[in-house]
Parts: sequence; C-alpha cells; structure tokens
Amino acid sequence: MTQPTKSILLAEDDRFLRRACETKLKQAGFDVRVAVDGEEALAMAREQSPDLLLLDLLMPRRDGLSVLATLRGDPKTKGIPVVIMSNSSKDLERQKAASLGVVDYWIKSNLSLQELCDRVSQLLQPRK
Amino acid sequence: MATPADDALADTVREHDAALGGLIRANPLAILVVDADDRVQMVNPAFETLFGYREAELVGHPIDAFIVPHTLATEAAALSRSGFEGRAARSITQRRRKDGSLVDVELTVVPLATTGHAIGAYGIFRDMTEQKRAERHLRAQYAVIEALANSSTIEAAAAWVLRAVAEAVDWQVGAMWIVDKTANRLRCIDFWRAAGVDATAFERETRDSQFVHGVGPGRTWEMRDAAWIVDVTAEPRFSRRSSAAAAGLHAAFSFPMLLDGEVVGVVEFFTSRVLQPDPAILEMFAALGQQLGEFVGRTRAQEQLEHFFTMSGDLLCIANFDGYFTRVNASWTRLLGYTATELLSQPYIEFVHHEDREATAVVAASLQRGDPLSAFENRFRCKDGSYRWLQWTATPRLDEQLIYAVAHDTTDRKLLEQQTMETLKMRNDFVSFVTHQLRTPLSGIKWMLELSNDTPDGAEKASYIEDARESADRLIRLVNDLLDASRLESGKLQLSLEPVDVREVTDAVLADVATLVREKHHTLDVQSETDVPVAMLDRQLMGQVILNLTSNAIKYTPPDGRIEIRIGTRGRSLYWSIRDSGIGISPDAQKRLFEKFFRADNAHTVDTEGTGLGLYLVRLIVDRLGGAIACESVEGRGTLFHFTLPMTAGDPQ
Repeated sequence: MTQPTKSILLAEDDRFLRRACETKLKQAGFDVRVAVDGEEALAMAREQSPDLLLLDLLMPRRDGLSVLATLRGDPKTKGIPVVIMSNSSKDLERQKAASLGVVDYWIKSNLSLQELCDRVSQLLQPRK
Repeated sequence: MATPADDALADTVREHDAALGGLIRANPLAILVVDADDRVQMVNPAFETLFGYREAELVGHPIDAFIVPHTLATEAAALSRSGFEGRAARSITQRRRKDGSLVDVELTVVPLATTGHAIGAYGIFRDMTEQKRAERHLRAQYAVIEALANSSTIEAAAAWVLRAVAEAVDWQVGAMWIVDKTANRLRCIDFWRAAGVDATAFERETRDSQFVHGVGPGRTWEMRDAAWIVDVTAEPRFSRRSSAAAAGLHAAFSFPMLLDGEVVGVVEFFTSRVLQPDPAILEMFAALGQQLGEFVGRTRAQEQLEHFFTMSGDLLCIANFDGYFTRVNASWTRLLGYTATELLSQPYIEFVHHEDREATAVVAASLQRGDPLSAFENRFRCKDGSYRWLQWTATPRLDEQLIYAVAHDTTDRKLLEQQTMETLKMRNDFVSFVTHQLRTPLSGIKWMLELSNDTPDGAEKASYIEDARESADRLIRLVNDLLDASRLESGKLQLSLEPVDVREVTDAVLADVATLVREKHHTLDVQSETDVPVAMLDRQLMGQVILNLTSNAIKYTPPDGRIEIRIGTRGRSLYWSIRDSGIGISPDAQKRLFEKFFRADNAHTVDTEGTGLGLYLVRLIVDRLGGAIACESVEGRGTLFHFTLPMTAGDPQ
C-alpha cells in the first residue's frame, strides 16, 4: 500500500525561495535535493534521475533552458519530467520551454507554497 | 490696201466681237484681245482691275511693253508666237502691274483665226496671287517643320529655317535673334544669305550686334508684332543701314518668335527690292513665329529636364532590359563613389548586395513585363565596400525596352528604424528583467510568511520571518537602485553640493562594512596623500560610489584577502582607488562592466543576488559629478577600480 518516496530535484538560485520550497516539499514527504545553479542542476539530474525536476530559468553559470536542452539531448535524461518555475513571463521563454517538452510552466509569484505543493503532489500521483 | 475680202473678214471679226463682247466684258477673268500685229484691240474691266491700266491707255499698243517683266520677255514672245501660229498655250508666270509690282498669273493664249488664217489672239489671265502665296506658305511651312524636326536646338535649326522662309518669299537675306534673358539683349544666333548675294560686311555687323528692347530687331521684341521697313537704307533708325546698302538690301520685315505671348526671339529678312508692306507676308509668318517660339520653349523644357536630371539629389537612372544602366546622374557618383563609366560597364545586379539580388531580379522581371515599381528597397555596394539602402520607384517603357528609375537613399532612415527597434527591444527586455527581479523577493516574502504561519515552533517561525525581512530589504534596495538609476539617467537628480572630505566619507563607509571585513578576515589598508583638498561634491552620492566599490571588493575577494584604498590628487582632480586580491574580471566582462544589469559570469558564482545595478550606478554618479572611472583587472589575481573627480562637481577636469 505504501508507495516509494518520490524524488524531486529543485534547481533554484535564490536562497530564500530555495529554502521555502525545500522546506514545504519535505514537509509533504518528498525526497528533495537542491541545486543552486544550472551546472549543479545538470550534474545532479544526470546522477539521480529525479521523478521531477523543478527548474528555475534565470540561474548563474547555466540558465534553465540550457539545462533543459542538454537533458533532452541525452537519452539517459531526456525522459525526466520537468516543470519550469520562473518569475519570467516572457513569451519567447515559454515557447522555447514548450518546444523542449515540459510538463508545465509556473510563475512563482503567482503561487502560494501550498498551491505549489498540491500541484507537485498531483503530478507525482500514481496513475489510476 | 484693204481688199473686199479683208473688209469681209474685218466685218466677221466685228460681228464675232459683238457676239462675244458681252461675255468678255462681264468675265471675272482678265481678258486681253490683240490683233494680228500684236497690238491691243481691247481689255475687259477685270484686266483693268488686275493690272491697273485703263483700256484706253493700251488700245493700239503692243501689250508686252506694258506688262511683261524684262526677265520674262523671251517667254512672252514664245507665247505670242504660239497664239499666232494657231496653237493654244498656257503658262504659270508673272506679269507686271502698272505700279511695277509683279503678279502671279496663269496665262492662256487662244488663237483667233478664220479659215486657218490668224487674225489675232486672246490672252486670258487668271490671278494666281493667292494660290501662289498659299503654295509658298505651305512649302515654307514644310521646310521649317522639317528643319525643326531634325534639330535639337534652335541654333541648329536656324540656318534651315532662314533659308526655307527666305526662299519661299524670294528674299535674299535672313537673320535669327534670341532673347538672352541674363543680358536682356537680342543676340544673333544665325545669318543666311542667298547664293550670289555679297553681304559680308552686313553679315559681320549683324552677327556682332546685340540689341536692347526697342532698338533694331528689338523693336519687334518690344511690339511683340511683325514689323516692315520699306527701305532700310532710307531709315535713319536702322543702325546697320550702311552695310545693308553695301549689300544692296532695301526692304525688311521681321516677326517675333512667341512662347505663351512672350517674345523669345526675332527673325528678320531683307530683300534687294524696295517694297511696300505686304500684309499677306506678315500674316503668313505670324504663325511661323508662334511655331518657332514653341520650339524654343520645347528645347528649353528639354534643357530644364536635363538640368533637373543632372542636379537631382536623388539617384536617377535609365536601364535597359539587358540589365545594364544606360544613363545615371551625378548623384550616383556622389553617393556610391563610382564614375558613370564604371556604373554603365557591368550589369547593375553586380552592385546589389548578394542578399538582395534575388528580390531585385524578381522586380526587374516584373518591370520588363510592364508593371511599374514603387517602394522597393535594396542595398547597393559603394566603391569603398560599404552599402547604402536605396528605395526605388521605376516605370518601364516596353516600346523602348528601357526602365526609368528613381532611387532614394534611405540608409539613415533604415538605421534610425533599426535603432528604434533595438531601443524598443531593450525596453521590453528591461521591463521583463525588472519584473523578474521584483517578483523574486516578493515570492520570497510571501513564501516565508506562509511557512511561518504554518509552524507552531517559535524559533522556526522567527527564522522564517527573518528571511522574509531580508527579502523585503532586497526588494527595497532594488527599488531604490532602480529609482536612483532612473533619476540619474533622465538627469532629474538634483546635486546637493557641499564641501566634502573624501577621506571622511571613506571612513564612514568602512565603518558600516567593518563587520563584513572582519567576517572574511580581509586586511584593509587605507592611505591618503597629505593635503587632499576638500572638494565641492554631493556627499550622499560620493558615499554611494565608495560603498558600492568597497562592498564589491569585499564580496568578490575570497577570505583572507587584501584591500587597499588610496586617496589623493591627480593634477587638479581628486583621485580615489580600491585594489583587491579577488577573483578578478575577464577581459570580455570588463568591456561591459558598467552596463545596466550586466553581471560577470564569475560574479554569479560568488553572489547570486546582485541586481546588476551597482557599478552602473557608480558610473552614472561619477559621470554626473563630471569625473571618470576605469577598471584594471586580471582574472584570479584581483581588480583595481579608480576614479577621478573635479574639485568642484561638474567642472571640467
């Protein structure tokens, strides 16, 4: 009856947002790892193949779209479900993300932590 | 001795005359009856009218002495002979009136004979004046039209026109004058004389003369109407009369060349005879004057067009359907740097930017099908290798297989458009970026408060609230920096100048950051030259520059680093520098260091929360105070920022 704990990789450079998300998702029972920039996100995604990657776009060293494109180009990582979590609402970035295949695109400031957590839970629910 | 037979014959003639008399007298044709000895027997009233003689003056005399010009004596004798030999004869000829003038006539000689024996002759004269005049008019008209059609300027046509007109009216000399508007004089453009006329001196004088309004041919200019001089040698006002007399010239007439009622030139003719004004001639050439004036107008219009073509600031050209320019105006050379020969010697497509060639070929094909072109743009290569944007309007002429085209240089407009687009894009990027930068700390505040709300644990709650407060501080700093930048950019920031001791400001900033310096175990070395004067500066802005540079040095230098601050003067300027042993800045990043929102890649690795506004503000403030700032750096070794400021802000250094 018990399901294996779902793993989430959270790539977020802002330490306040990172702390808030990490705390909330852990409280909800997820296995949460964090990456503070694009390079780290890429390395950790390759290593652990998370059940979900929550990916910020504007990050040091490597931006989120580049991380996404690299993951999609590698057969081992191209299946990782990715949700973009950004505060940028530029159409061009949405389009690029969509063309690389993402589950969803969320604007952080429009979500409460609870809503964020609910959406993640819904995504990671086993299919009936 | 008259025989009875002769009497009988004379009776017969008289009867005949009686029978015909009424018919002859009432006849509109001029009729003359001569007897066998060629003496006038009778003339009818029409004859009297035509020649000006009364019948009584002529009867009994040989007619030739009265009406045959000397030059036509032989012809007249031949005609008479033919009549007396019993043959009718006809001739288009001339006879002389009583007043000496010549009249064109058609003369029919009809023999008057009885039983094969000539007893006299009829002469029937038809007045041909009008017909001849019309013929000459037509001939002259035709010759003039032909001359004009084959000439591109009035100068080229002049000799032909003069000759055609002079020959038509049988005058010996002609001259053409053109109004020179600049000098306001009539200038002779050509002179013609019939073969055999010696008018050398008159020609020279005519060609060398210039006449003002109202004098000589200038009278025709003034009157705007034809003029006639019966005898120029007897006319005191005719200045060339002595040379005219030497050439044997007497009567003269002249007429104006008229264009829209304005005199553009005068034509004058001279003849060796003394002649009374002939209204028919004057009338006949009024029309010709109009024609010549219009021709001058057309050639002037042509010249104006030529001038327009040459002087236009736009690029005007004609191209053939083979893809070559056949004519280009001077603007092409001015704009692109090629000579006309260079432009005409290769297909024009060779000058077109390779990216625009396909489109150019498409419009050229469409032009050759007859479609006009407008608002097409392409790039042309200049001789120096640069390109200019040209906007085209063109019309094809299928009958000539030519394209007439005008191009306008739109390079500057294009550049402006491009700059506008870039500015708009920058604005959009700015709005997106600021939106992102503002949302991030807002999300931080919101989420931290949410977590704090969710936990009962007091210490945990306090920790979340502390993070929320820090996010709020970041938001405030960002907003303040944006506002400062905006005020400095727009020049709306008012300076508040006061005497400022820069060492004092530096020490105050260092006191604020002392904790950070201590935490990272940096060594701080501040030295100022003695006698650094107090400068007139804005204390708060100076503080911000020093704070931004100092906190960067602290932040981007790994623990246990060394920071040196130097304060002094350079010439008449204040000098301030800060050197750190930090991570340094790559050469590429150094170029963009002072741009708005720019952050070097290695800066991100140290601090992800920078706004990209700190150094931008530093530069704006130093600029505002009239100073200059520069940076020297080696990656991994350290960075030196130094700036100079005038002792009084805003003064030239």
